[in-house]
Amino acid sequence: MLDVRNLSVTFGSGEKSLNVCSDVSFSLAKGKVLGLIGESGSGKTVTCKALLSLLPDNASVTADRMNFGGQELLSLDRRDFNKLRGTELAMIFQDPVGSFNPVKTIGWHFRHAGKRRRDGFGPKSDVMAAAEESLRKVEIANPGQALRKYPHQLSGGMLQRCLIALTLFCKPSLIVADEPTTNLDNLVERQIIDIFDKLRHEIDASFIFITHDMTIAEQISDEIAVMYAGQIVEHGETAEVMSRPRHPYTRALIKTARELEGDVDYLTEIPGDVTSGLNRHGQCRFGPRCPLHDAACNHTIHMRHVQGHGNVRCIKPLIREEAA
Amino acid sequence: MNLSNLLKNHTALAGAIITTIFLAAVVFGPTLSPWESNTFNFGAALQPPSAQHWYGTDSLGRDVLTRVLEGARVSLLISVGGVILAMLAGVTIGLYAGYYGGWFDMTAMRVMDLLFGFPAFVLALFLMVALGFGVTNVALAIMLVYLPIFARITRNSTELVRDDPYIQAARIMGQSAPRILFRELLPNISAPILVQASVSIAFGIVIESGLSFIGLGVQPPMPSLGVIMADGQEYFRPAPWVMTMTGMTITVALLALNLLGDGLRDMADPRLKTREA
Amino acid sequence: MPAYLTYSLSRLIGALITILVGSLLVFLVIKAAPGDPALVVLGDFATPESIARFNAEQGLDDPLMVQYLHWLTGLARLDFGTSLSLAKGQSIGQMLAFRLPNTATIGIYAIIIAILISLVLGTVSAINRGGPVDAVSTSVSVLGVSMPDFWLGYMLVLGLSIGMGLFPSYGFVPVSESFIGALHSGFLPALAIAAPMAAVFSRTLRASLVENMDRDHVTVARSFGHSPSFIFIHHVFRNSIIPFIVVVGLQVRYLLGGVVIIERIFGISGVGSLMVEAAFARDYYLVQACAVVFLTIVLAVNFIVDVICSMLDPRRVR
Repeated sequence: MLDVRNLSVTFGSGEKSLNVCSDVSFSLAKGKVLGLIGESGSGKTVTCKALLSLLPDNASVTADRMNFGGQELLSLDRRDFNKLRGTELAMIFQDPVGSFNPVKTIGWHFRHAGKRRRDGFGPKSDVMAAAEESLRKVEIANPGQALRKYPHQLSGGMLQRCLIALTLFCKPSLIVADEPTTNLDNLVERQIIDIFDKLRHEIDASFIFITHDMTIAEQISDEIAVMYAGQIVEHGETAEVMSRPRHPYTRALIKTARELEGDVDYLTEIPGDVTSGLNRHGQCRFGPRCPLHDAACNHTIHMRHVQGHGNVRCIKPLIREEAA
Repeated sequence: MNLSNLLKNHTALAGAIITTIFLAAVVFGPTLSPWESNTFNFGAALQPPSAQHWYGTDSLGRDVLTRVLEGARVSLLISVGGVILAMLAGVTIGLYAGYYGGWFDMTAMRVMDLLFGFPAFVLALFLMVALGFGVTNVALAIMLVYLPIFARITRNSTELVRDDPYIQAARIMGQSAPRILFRELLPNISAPILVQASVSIAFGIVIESGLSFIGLGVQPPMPSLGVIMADGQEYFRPAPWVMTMTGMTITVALLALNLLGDGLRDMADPRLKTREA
Repeated sequence: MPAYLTYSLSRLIGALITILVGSLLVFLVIKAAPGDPALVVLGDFATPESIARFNAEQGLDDPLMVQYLHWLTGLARLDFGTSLSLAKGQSIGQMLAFRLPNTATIGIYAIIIAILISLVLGTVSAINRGGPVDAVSTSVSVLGVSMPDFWLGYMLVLGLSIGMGLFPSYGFVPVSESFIGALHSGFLPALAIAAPMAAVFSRTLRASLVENMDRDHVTVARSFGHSPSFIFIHHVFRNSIIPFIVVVGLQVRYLLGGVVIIERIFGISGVGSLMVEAAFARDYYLVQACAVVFLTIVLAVNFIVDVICSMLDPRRVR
């Protein structure tokens, strides 16, 4: 239902331009969840904002294809695109507190989201009833009361649930969740993830779940795509990627994630930082930090398909069985 | 806030340049001018601006530009005097109120709010009635108008930084309160105070001009911008240039000070842009 | 009780206390001022006996506190005493009652003009942020704040009255006589006061709008596909109104100050010109009364602004 081919995003122009995303391609089938993993600066949020056309004016977006449910997104003008937003394409943002208008009640947000819905509503009471139902689905105990409150009167966890409910209220077909639990503390995070897990089975929408936490991605997603320095470096079924990572970066990420869970004497470090990889053309962007890097890696690396696995952007994919 | 920053900020730079030119004119102008500000010359009365008299002449034949520059000296001195007094008192009150909090803070701010509750001009007028007209009292009036503003700005800034590490360190080292307040704390909150100072001097000139214009401020024959405007008012219809040129000069001076204040504010913290005079 | 009502009540009490203390201050300052009411009324050559008689009649021999309370209770009954010299023996209350509507008219007129101009200017600047219109309006704003309002008044008279004959340069037609007349004769004075205020208002509005345009909830609203006009009205403008109203309230202080001179220049019989005349006539009671009236107006406006803001912004009520 979503088919993206060779998406590239560049900020600025000329000398000062920054190529934040390049050669991003993936497909997402209906009802599936794609976990998009990467460190800060890897381009995961920018990719999704590009899909929803939420980038600032100085960003130039190019792609061979950005096809959503049969419609080519790039060829739509502003007004037509706006019709899709909210109703078909939606995004749940990272900071729930800032996402609501502080001078309006939660109920107000629902009421106006309700106006956007394709199937429409009758009188106001219908909208409110549906809103309450929506809030119940995200496990808010007293939905009627919550609707009457103002954002500053609710906790971060509560607001994130409301935001999720609000986004789902319009029944979009594709939902991007951009690190929705990063700003919340662990206990609340667990609850929100469980809600997501429950919802994805109840609704037939597709999800792109952005996170930097591999364990969350493992629990929630059907497929995983790992991004580094603006490119997808590995993409495959969750179980496969997690147990048999092919790209050195993925392997390192999983290793550090497991170490954090387990009991180790010292944590493995991936030397260097992501930003040195941006704007790097004609070579492997992960090169400088990769233990397997050599002269052979100094050309543009494309995604290759690995038998029985998925796609990897590496000329030396790790074929050996790695203990997860 | 250093010199290279100032040079990059066009607003502040423009303001600084114009202010400097203005100050130079005010300080040196009357001496350099070929005209005496108080020599009557009825033959040349009420002449429009010309090459000889750039601002024209008034009803007594005096060169208006020279008078304006002399008057500007007086107005500026009064305004600066008043603002400096307001700063001395207001900043001190604000520092102690913000630092100690408690009942002193509450009482002091209440009193400041009360002072602030009187419109600037009404307060000034009231004081003229109570104290009598004249130069020093105008300065005092300006002081009372701006005292609460400086107090409040200082107090709010002080409250924000009072628990910063370097202040705590000074306390632990046993430094006395006045030393902490004036040596450590004050320099760090000086930015908004200075911005307010430039804005206050600007409007202080307006207050003085206004008071003198209606006759309750500086008394003739001492020139001040307001006195000259009052002269110009009498003969406004036949000779509008006296009033016009004087007012324009005031506007330019105020513009310079406002630009300077704006520029300083932008340099110090771009987020403070919503303040007003 | 709804939160904003309790809040409003506490603000109201605060305002009343301030008026009380303020009136005490005014009273004491006048008392301390050099100058003798007796001499003002009776003239400089009054005999000691007549002075003594005057003081006894006026209660000026009573202890200070008694005098103050006497005056204060009079104020509560709206009895401001009688004029000393300006209009000997006339009830100050009556004078005020006659003059207040004129001041109010000009004041309200000025604020409305300022708000209208700034709504347009501020919004256009914000939407056109960084563009030519923005630059021009910012320059105009800085200029507007730099002009002394009484000078602007004269310039307007020069241009629009003497020059084009569109408006009268003197005299004011009260609203009670003719509404159109008031609008016409009051336009120049109101505009003179409004210009600097409009400058401040539009800069505030612009800054506020720009700040709100960058907020997260605006991006979220865009992601929901709401139309740009909806987003502007409900997410940007609605959130910018409060700082705007606060600034409007703050500028009333300035407005009342400006009114004093403007009334004098344009010959408007308002409280401002009354205070000036009283000052010249050394009419202490009248000056006293005017000061308190001005203070009360400012506090009343502050109170109203507070209440409105607490209703508009649910976060303000604590």
